[in-house]
Amino acid sequence: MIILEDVNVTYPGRPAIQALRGVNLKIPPGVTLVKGRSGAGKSTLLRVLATLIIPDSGKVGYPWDDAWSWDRRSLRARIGYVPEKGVAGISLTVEDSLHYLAGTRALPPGTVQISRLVQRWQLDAFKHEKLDRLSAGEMRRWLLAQSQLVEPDLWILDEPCKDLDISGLSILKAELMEYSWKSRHGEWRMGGRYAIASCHDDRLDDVADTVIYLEQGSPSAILCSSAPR
Amino acid sequence: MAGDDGLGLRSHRSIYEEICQGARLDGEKVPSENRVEAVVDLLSEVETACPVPTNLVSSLICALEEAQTKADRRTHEVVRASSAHVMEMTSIDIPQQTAGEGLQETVVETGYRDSIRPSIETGSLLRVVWAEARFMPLTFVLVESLVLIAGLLVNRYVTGFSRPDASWPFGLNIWSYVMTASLDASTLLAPLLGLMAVMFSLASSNGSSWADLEEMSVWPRSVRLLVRTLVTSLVPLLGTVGLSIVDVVSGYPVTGRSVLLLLVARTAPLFLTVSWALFWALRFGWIGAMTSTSVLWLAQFAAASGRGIPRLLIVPKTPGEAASQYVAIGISLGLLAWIAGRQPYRSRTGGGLMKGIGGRP
Repeated sequence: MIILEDVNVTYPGRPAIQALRGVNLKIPPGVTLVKGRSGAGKSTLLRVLATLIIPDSGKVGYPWDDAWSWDRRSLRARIGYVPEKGVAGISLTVEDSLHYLAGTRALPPGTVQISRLVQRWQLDAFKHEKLDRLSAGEMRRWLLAQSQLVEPDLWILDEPCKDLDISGLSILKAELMEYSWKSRHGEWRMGGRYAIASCHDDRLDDVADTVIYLEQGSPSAILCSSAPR
Repeated sequence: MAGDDGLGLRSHRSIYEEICQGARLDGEKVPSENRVEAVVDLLSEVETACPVPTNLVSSLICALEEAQTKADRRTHEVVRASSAHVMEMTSIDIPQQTAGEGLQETVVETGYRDSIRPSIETGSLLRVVWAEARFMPLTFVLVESLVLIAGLLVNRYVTGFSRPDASWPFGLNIWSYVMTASLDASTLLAPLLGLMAVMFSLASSNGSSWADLEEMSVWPRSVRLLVRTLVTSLVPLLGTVGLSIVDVVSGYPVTGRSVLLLLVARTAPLFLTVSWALFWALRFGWIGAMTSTSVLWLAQFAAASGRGIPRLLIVPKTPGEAASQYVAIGISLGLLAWIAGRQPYRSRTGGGLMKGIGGRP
């Protein structure tokens, strides 16, 4: 279980914006959807979980033994992150950019099979295309593909359905169902596997195990599904 | 028994006759023979049917759940068959959990994380270096090379070490210029080349989504920036070192100087620029890099025209005159060590937050 205790995040400025207000959450393994209006703090919550933002105060707990003291190396080796916005100004091709990110993440050679990743997300036809020239939907697929360079125990997806077509959505749902399936059947790594996604619409509702509603930086409701799917 | 079919069961006819007799005696309505026949048939089936198991409902639920699980597993296997890599999963029992208990959690408090250092493995850092070198844009390498060569040629032309060769158009014997250009002038180019390398390294770290993706590296941003800057500095560095060796071999115009002195004197300004600009860039971004470098090198140019002041931009002729170069190398190493040990997390007081990490999405 991932635990957040009294987490506060404030963005500096005039006026300062308090994005998360004393968030207390226990997130179980499986698929969790984070919902709420724009500005409710969804992206900030996901960035906190992805260790991209360190809260001003509060505690964040992860269920893996080797994450003790937040050893960033071991923790980030478990995280796959999909940002909300696509990348811009990068002249690398789809394939080269995946190789590059695998290198910057210091992934041992041979552990990442870029070609299969490209194939899985149906990027074969664009693998020699520069990122700048991808359509919004293709960019979303690439963002999803790069997030699986590591086999994420914690898969964080910020608006993954945005610009995604039907076939892309099917792949995404199949991947998410795997997280859900394993959490339900106990077939997980030590500590469990988590997919946490923010979503404005209801396209991922049918694969969610837990739904968290955020309102003005705080959880307003949490729904847990216990029915077998 | 009359009407027995020989199998121990009475025929419907005999039963019908008995029912009719009884109905007449009781004054009741006599049922039709067909209805009696249907009831008799039903009774005979009941007598031969298997008994209903007592756990029928629970067995049925178990069977349905098992069928659902098999269907899920088939779906899962199809998904995995198309996936990119094979995972080795360790199946463990799900512990009974109550709120706030269960799996062993690691709860850490924020605020002191800036003192945490990831373990350093040379192998994984080399993979980062290789990735940076492999995907370094050729256009940037080309621009760096052109700036270096053009700067040397301009300096060579201005200082006029050799006479124009009439055999070339406009008297410009390019080859002659290249071969006779003093690499001492590379010190004058160090501010520009060093700043270019740092600015290019900072280019993708502007708080964009790409910066977030790079930030997911297991190495801190400062280390990755350092690696990238060193890679982008390789062209002027290797160019200076290589051509200095050519200078020594050809004996012009460095007669009397040792190779070590020559290399230190010619590369020290570049090292200082890169480390100085990177140091300020990590604090104040590209504006900090440009401003601080400008201030440093204006001071150096002013010193270069003075007498009796240690001059970094002037290549010394004897080791005794190279104090400023050795000091510059020392400062550079100190700055680079500080950068390598820096963690991009802010402390509890909020200071030291690096751009591109805490920005509002």
